[in-house]
Amino acid sequence: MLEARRTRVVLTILLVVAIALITIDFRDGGGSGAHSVGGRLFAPVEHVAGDVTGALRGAAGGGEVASLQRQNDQLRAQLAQAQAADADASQLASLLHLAKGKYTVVAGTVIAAGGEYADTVTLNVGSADGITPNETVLNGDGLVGTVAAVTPTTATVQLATDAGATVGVRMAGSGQIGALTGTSSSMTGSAELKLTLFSSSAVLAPGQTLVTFGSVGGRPYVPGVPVGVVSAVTTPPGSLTPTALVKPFADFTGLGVVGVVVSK
Amino acid sequence: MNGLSANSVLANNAEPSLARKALTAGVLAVGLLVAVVIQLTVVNRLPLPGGAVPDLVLLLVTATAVCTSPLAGALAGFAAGLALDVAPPAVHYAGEYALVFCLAGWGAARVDRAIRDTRGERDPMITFAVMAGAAAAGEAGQAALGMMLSDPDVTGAVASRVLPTAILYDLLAAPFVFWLVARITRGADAERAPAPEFSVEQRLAQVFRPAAAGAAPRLRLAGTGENYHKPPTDRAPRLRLSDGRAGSSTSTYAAAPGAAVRLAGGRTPKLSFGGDLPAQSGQARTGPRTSRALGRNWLRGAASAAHVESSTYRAAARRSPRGPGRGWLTAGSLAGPAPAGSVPRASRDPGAGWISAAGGPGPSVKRTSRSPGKGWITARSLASASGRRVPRAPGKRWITAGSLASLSGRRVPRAPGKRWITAGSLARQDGQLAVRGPGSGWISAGSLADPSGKRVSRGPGKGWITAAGADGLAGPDGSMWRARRAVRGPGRGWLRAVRPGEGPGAALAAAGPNGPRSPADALAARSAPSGLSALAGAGTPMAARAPRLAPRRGWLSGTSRPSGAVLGGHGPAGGSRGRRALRASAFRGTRGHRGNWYAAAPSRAWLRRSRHPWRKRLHLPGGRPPVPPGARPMASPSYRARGGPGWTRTPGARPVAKNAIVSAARRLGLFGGRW
Repeated sequence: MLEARRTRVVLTILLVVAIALITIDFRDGGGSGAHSVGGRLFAPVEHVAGDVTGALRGAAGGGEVASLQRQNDQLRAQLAQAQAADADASQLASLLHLAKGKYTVVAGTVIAAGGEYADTVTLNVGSADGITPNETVLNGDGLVGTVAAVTPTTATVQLATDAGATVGVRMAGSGQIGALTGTSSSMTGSAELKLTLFSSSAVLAPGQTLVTFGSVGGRPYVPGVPVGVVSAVTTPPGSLTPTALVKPFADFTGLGVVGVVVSK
Repeated sequence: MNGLSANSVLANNAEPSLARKALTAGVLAVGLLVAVVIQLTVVNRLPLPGGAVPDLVLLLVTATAVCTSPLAGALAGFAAGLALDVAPPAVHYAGEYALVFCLAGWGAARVDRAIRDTRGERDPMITFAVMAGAAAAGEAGQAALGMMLSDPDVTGAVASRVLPTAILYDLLAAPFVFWLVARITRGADAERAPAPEFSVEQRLAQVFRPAAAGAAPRLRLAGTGENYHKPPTDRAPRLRLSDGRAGSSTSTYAAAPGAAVRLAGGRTPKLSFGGDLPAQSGQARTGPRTSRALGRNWLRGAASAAHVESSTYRAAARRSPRGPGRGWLTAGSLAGPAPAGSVPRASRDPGAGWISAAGGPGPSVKRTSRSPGKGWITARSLASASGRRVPRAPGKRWITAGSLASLSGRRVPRAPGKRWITAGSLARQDGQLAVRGPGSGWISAGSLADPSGKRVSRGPGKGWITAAGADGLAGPDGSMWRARRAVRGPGRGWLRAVRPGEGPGAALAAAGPNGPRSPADALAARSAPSGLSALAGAGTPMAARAPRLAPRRGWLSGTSRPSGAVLGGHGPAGGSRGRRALRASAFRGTRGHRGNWYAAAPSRAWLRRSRHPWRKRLHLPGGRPPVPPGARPMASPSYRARGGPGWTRTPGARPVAKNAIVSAARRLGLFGGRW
């Protein structure tokens, strides 16, 4: 019984501490010091584990693939930049105040992933490599997400499929703009994003391609990165805004090497 | 030594070494850390169908919990959950997983422990089921907490899609994790007592199990009247300790060679401790049983010889040859007088904290059906008479002998310290209670005291028991138990008994080493509001007005009832007025409380009228005990005239005999009496 009493005391203390942590983190909007402390503690361990698993994956898929992917990422980023410039460089620059600086891409490898509900991954590059939060992450296929938090050696990426992520997109042909939100289903292998166009007169059809619209200063999304293709139009009858499901280009279940667009 | 061999026998059940525990704890901690990392880096990236992954950390937490303890489960859950909260990929609020996993770990261990206590054994399948259920509950709790915190990732649609798959994966992965953790903790987890506390389940089970097996409900307090409003008339004090059989108080001892131990009222003392076996009184049992010595601190019954001569009253209590630990209790004296030279000794002392009880000579010695483990003294077999027990045991290593009660079996409401043995129910009619015990390791047998209300004085050491009045049992003229102060004993583990030369008649006059007490002193001591004041002396101001005072909480209203044998003929203090007043006050607290099905038996009137099956097991053999000198006349003259040993509720009474007996009793006017 003494043991039970001690257990109760300890349990109460632990629960109070846990609730206090939640409260503090809730107040800080998920950015309390606990995360940074935990990042510093677990980053080295995850680095080692990520290297091990990366080596295993590399051995399974061939080491040359990684370098080619990295090169591909660079080219993709440059292409996106060139496309953005070619489309309507002056207009976009004047309207959106796009940064005219040069993009550089820091390549990183996914070393950890979040749980079932959070579509987040951890990269093995961090603020030591020049990465700061709210930077675009892409890979050879298209948009991956944005950097949510960084530690000196790791960066946490919020995937585009996360329910908390919203990406401004532009229809490749018509130029209509809209918003793309995730559905927290990256792990299912059939990740689908929900597209909502802002114009009620826009015409949606399956097969249309979406690219990122771009944000001020390239944060969190640089313009021109291909995102996905419209797979199904789900506009409810009588709705003012057309909606559709978008199948992303990137394969979120098999993320390996990704690039972080570091704007300078 | 004997103890060494017994200890080696018990080695498997002994507490594991500290190093082994620390090693296991370290392995589990490292395992949790590894599980967190593997979960984040490997498992979460597995492209499993259904969009969910097994939660290795949660599985490991729950497995650790059910394999160790609630405390360890809560700690492991909190630590692992916090690690998952702050490790880099996590974007949810820190503390969510810590909260959920902490609760899951604690709850899993708690449920598993409760089930184990109820069943009395450990079933790996049930443990695994509990673990899997806790893991599933943890997954659900995770989702629920995320939804409560309005996490955008955790919506109802997502949870309903992910949760079943996640639970399925958890269940698939659970056997491996459970096997691994059980293997790790196998050596470090001692074969724990199934019942370190009387959980509610076990309390109920112990009541219902014998009843379901057909045993007669021996739950009613002997010595109480027809109901709780009516105290019994002045009968001779009966000490009936766990009388397990029908007619054993009379027939068995009549057949025994030599004069049997006779209590006041023609009853025989029977005391059964855990580990005892039924022994006929004619068969001497010299050796204690060692077969079921499962742990230390067991109440150990050495069923002992019982050829007794009524002329040789000896204090049968002996010090154990070696008392390796504290908390020894040699209750040989409870076994009744033994012939000189054949005093049973507790020959083997297997471990610390043992209690060797030389078993009573009667056939009522019972064996506990299962041995709960270390640290326990199971007084369950003592409970046949009244089945009382302490409602909540605040400390571990309790011995609750509340069920020893025959006449007045009351209990100490709450015991302040650990390692208490409250034998308050050994009380005779006015058994005093040790209200507050000064130290740990005490056994207060103040209720063995005589009517003059002496109690165990401040014992100098731990592990004392003062059992006075051992030969007071044997008064052939129906005398009382007497109380002796425990002389400050130099050693531990002593059990003091009254010397044979001190006759029952002298007990009332010279009840203690302090000399004779006046009846007023006796009354005052009995009515003292607390144990300490009673220790301090007889004449407290409160005691002077004792008849007017309501008994304080924890007082035994039944036990503070004066008996006519004590007070009769002792002057105005023992007059009828005082007795009535005292009785009225003594029952003030119990008015309207008829007990319930668990704690007390229904009254006889209820049984007589009811259609309950218990009724069939009730009959009334024999008459009533002789009236001690000085007692008030009985209400029923025919009752006194017969002078039998008193009615006994009998388990297993034949239905054939019932009608005849009841009709005979009715003819004799028994049912017209006040009892």
